[in-house]
Amino acid sequence: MAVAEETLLQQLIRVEPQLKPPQHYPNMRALEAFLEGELRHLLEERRLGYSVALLPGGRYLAQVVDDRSRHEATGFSAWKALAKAYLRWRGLS
Amino acid sequence: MVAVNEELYTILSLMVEDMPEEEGQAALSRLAVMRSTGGFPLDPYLAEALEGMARSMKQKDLDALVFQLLESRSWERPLPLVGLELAVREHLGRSGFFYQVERFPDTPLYRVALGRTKPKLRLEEGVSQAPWAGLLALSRRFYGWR
Repeated sequence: MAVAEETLLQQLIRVEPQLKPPQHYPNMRALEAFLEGELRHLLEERRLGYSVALLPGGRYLAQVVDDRSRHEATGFSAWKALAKAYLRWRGLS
Repeated sequence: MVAVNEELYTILSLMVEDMPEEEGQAALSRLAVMRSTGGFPLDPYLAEALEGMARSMKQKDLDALVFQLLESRSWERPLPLVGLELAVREHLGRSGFFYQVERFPDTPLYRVALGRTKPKLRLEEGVSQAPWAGLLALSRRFYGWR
């Protein structure tokens, strides 16, 4: 039986359960604000550096940085890029 | 960073003054709620950025931005300031800018960079405690050039 591929959001919540949205948001923008806000809060609490950029082509580039490494990822929204970069930093992607 | 909500309230009040009365009143009542609930930490850079916006942006752009800030975001958890920052970033993205917000670990500071490719490549950088204020302050430099 084919197993449905885990979405980025599902993967993120599995790794960091506190990022599970506490409610159903009526629109994507509210969900994006929640996820980016919580993710950044988590990174700041763990004393990790990070950056989020909108590139001239319209894609987002995020980096998660510690003393020894720098992991980056791109995405079509800021939180997705940041989530991918964070999962890479954790060695999970 | 100190809370100077009165200052924000005054500045935003000035911005909505020229809106149609009904919309302006609605915006002001929301501002009053934000103020009474303890709202925003503001740094001097932010106050300067807001004043700069008020002076240098075209009225319709200003109206659009203020409305976007007030209307488009949920002010609940998580961080109102991130919601505000997203609104500013969307506005700048739609206006043809690209940008970067970078967090320095173990400091309250963010590096912000704002650029445009047209009419020619140009990049401005700064450091701020509030990325959305820093980005707006940088955008003012571009508008000042026009």
